[in-house]
Amino acid sequence: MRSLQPSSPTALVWAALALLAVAPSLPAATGAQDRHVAPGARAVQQQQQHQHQAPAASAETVELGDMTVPDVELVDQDGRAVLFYTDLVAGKMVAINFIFTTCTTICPPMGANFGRLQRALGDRFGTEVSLISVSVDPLVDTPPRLKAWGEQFGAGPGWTLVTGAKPQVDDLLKALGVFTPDKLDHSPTLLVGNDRTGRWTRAHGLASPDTLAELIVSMLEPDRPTPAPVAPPAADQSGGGHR
Amino acid sequence: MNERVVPAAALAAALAAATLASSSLAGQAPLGDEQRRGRRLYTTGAPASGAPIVAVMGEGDVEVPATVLPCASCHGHDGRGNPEGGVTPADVTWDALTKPYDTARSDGRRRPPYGRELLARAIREGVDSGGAPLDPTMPRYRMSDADLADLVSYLEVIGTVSDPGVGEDTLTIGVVLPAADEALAADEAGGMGAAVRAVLHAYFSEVNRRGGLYGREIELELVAPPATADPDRRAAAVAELVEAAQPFAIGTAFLAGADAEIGALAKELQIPVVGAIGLYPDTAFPLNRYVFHLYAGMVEQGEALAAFAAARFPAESRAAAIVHAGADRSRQVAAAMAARLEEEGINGILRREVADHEQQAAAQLAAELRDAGTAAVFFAGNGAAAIGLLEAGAGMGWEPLLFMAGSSAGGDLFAAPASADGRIFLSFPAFPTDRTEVAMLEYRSLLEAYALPPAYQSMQLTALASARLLVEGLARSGRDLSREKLVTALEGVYAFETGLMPPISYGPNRRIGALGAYVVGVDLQAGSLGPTVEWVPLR
Repeated sequence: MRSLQPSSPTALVWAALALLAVAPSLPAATGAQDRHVAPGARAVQQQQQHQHQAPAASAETVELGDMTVPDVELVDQDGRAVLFYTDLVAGKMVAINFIFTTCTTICPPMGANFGRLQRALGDRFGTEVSLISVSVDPLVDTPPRLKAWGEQFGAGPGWTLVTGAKPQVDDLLKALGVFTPDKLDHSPTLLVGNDRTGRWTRAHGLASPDTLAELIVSMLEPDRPTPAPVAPPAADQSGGGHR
Repeated sequence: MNERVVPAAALAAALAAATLASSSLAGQAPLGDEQRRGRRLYTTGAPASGAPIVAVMGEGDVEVPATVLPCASCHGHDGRGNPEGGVTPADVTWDALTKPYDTARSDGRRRPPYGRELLARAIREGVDSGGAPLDPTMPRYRMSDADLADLVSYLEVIGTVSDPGVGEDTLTIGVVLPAADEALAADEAGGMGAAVRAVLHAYFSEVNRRGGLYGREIELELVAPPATADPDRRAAAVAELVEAAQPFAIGTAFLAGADAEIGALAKELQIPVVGAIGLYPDTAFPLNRYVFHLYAGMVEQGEALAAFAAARFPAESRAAAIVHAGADRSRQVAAAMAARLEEEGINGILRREVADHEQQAAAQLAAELRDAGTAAVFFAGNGAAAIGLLEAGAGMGWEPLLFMAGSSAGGDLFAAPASADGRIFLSFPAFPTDRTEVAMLEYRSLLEAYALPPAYQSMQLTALASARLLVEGLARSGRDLSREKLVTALEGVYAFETGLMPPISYGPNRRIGALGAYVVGVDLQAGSLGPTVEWVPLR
């Protein structure tokens, strides 16, 4: 909690709610990705945790915090093939949200949040910190569609939006603990991680950009413990949604 | 059936009228001016006038244009709310908001009834009727008093009014007839416009005779914009039709060069155009959701030619040149051809511009291409210019393959030098081989039953195909009809057979029904097309 350094009454509310709302540890990865890993291979990968893995037909896996995540091939908003871990996460500090472009309720606010978070991060954005939006609807979200979506929110270099083949994207979402069978049920989770320190945490994708920036900056420093997750932005104590 | 022809003289004021409601003209229009402006604001986030509306989120420093977060996005076109990701947007229909007793929000907190003032406060300040903060996912909207008044007026009726053109037992559909001479457009007996109007009249009369769609008879409101070179004037004519007749959707629409202008109008007015026919469909992202094109345009045909050539003539394609006219559109087609060739692994081919009707320039270009060893020419320009190049080449023993769009080539290409026989390939978005016996039988029986003028057959068949598409979309949408439902239903159309053109498919990212083109050989000796007839699908 000390790393949050709440700067406003609302931030205090979030900090308090953090204790109630989201368990600090990440859910154990589901069994879905196990088929990508030969029993012997995992030990090797754990040793070489943060080294680059050569792309393979069946994705290699890496350990991110206590998640075991396949290094799946994805496509970014400019149509370039990228490996999730190798190209987007390895050696970086990242914040990842999960969106789809036909999502009408929570995704546009999350997009607006990322747009504002770019500014809140200042010089660190694009250099020390990258933002990633992963589509949870890869069948519809083509690269040009993602690009147009990001442009609405002023996406700059350093904010990568990715889609891909549905099986690969689903494997990734399962490994990150954010998969839902119905995309309409997907939650506004934000995954924040520093691959250099191996620390990962979860925040609410609709939390205030300044709070998220504070969380991210606090995780840049290697000697701090993993901070508590950031809870949803609640205007009152009820926690439920009502618009 | 109501049929209207808008004379050219009436068009001047049409653009000005486009945004100002004139509901009194329409008779059946369900909304007043304020409500109509409010409806547009609710669905698009765009203000009726003046400063853009801003959505403010969180603690006040996340600001985005309201067009990104319009009301309808969360609360739905019917005002009842789209629950998603654990957020349950409030039901904002007037009945739900104004129940005369305390009601529970979805988070359990109770609130007193809303009225106009309290609702306006909620929208601007993010507090509910009891003064408690709304869920932080609800932005606060910065807008003018007038815009807010419009919006609240619409919220008083949201969910209780149908989209325009939807009556109890009628459904009004607009039609944009093909460009024709102004004299012919007004002439009941002749011209393309009359031929298309006649076949649509016959087809929908049959639909209505069989009971219409879910108990509603289709009423057509037609506009025949004059054959003017000015696309804005054509779009203005369509805007005037929409304002005056308040159609639910536009069915058949011959865009005739006003693709961009009519497309923008459809997006602005949020009116579906089902079965648009034009040479340059706008498929850029963010997608114009409202315009459903039938055929591939010139750009897509250029891609199909490149894909065909790379597969059928790989050696010649590697030694190809792209020759285009000076117009922006021609450059766009040339760029698409080059991009497609690159996808096929063919890089760095020559690209040259050619001026029309300049024999000397044609001879120079032919010599240059001959010397460069060019074996195939992808041509984005008119047929006469292509022939000029082929003739100049034939004179110096240079006989390349030629690939170009059939609609640009016209009949001119049959005058190509005899040495080009079997070496010319044209693209067509549809071809007579698409026409099934059953569909043609039905067409002929319409001709007979309604004594149609037997003219402009391919235009009539295209119009029929678009009419069938519209009926399919309406059938999928159901009795409880809305424009959004029609758009969504059409996005689900897959491999729909009209029997008159290639199968039609749409999707969330796709607005060209028959996405591909025929590539057809030219038999100069016989003066006919063939024998090669190959459908090249795209993407």
